[in-house]
Amino acid sequence: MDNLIERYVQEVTRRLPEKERAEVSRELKSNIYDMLPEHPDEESIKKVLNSLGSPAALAEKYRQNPRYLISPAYFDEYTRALKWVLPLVGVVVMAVGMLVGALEAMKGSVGSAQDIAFTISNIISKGVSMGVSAAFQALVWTTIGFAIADHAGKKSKDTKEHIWKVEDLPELQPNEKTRIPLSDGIAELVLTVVFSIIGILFCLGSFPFAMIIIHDQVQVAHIFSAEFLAALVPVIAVTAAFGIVSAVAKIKDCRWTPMVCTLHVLHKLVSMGLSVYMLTRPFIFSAEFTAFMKNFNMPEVWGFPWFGVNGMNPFLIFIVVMVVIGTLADCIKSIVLTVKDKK
Amino acid sequence: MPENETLQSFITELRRGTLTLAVLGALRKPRYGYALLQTMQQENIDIEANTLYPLLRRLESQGLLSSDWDTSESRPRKYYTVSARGAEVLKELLVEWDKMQQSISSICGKDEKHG
Repeated sequence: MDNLIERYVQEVTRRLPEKERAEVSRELKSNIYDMLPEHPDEESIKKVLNSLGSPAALAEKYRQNPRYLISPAYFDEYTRALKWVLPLVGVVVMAVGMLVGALEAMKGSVGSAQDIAFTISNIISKGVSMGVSAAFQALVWTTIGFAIADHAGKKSKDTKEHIWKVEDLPELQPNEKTRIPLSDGIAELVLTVVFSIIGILFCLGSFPFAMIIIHDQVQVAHIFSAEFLAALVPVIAVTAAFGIVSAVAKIKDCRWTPMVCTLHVLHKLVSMGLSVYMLTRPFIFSAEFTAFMKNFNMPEVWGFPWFGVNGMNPFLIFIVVMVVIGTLADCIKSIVLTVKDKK
Repeated sequence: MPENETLQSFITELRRGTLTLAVLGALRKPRYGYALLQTMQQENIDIEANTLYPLLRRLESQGLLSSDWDTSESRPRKYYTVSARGAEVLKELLVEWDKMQQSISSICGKDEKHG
């Protein structure tokens, strides 16, 4: 019969911090015996224990400060972060997964009807499985991140308490023009990731796309020189990194804040600089392609062959000018929107 | 009956804040947990054992109560008393309690005349 009381007390104290267990156990037992008659039967013990309620609830009351993985102070931010991190990571990784699935299927087979079915199922299954597992990973790591931040915050609370000021109030919701729809940011991110991966795979020769016809027979030859492709890989990677950061900022803020604008302009300028640099390299086209183009009588503009020859030519200059104009126009537009947003 | 439940939850809420006052007041002389529970129930203060015992521990850790184990009897018992700080807090709370009572009766009394 004593067993019941011991078991009850143990159920309570095991939920408490170690240093409090002995004292609570002693106190609780003393209180329980006080509530019982001199020689209690099992019935009266059960009645008293029932009146105390579930051990878990009692332990919760004994706990000095309620324990949270993520306290209410952070919970709002936590759910807000999850709302954009989960779909974002899920969708992006799903796109990557579909690409991986397509590549895997392509490596293993050459286009019969059965292979197409296999390819499609491989694309879908790879995409879904990678997307779902990435979303779970994102959930776990976001939660761990917030839990750590929460606990670290609790410790430093005494030293620097966060005091809310009227100045902290965000500006009124900006007009519609300066808003960036969530879908835009996500689309930008997905496209950046997917095209960068395709670009890098292309540079590494994983795609057999760069074929040209020479002398009426199909002959596989790269349009671009190997040096050019090798130099392009880090360029794509760096541009993609800037693009991803800028897209994430857009997804997070959903409007043209100074931070979003800075990252966007930075991405555009880096991408412009690298594009211009790459376009003015003297080794863009492969020897085979240059030879191929020489078969045609290209019209000459200002004494230069129109296209397909390394070094400066009007076609490349035209592209460079377009890239620079386009980038500058885009940067000006985003700065204007940011200034409008501030008002 | 939802009407009744709402009323009950208001009453519980109203009582919760006064429990500290009642406990500090009752412990101006030393009492052990169960004796205090009985005192409270005699005075029609509706408190459960599973609320009172943790409350005592919390008030002690906040420095409002001091405790002493009495081991002279057949079973040890933990006696709680208000500490000096607890007595001070009790005094302040009683002043506040009087003020609140006056405000409430003045507000509700006025309303009665109008209504």
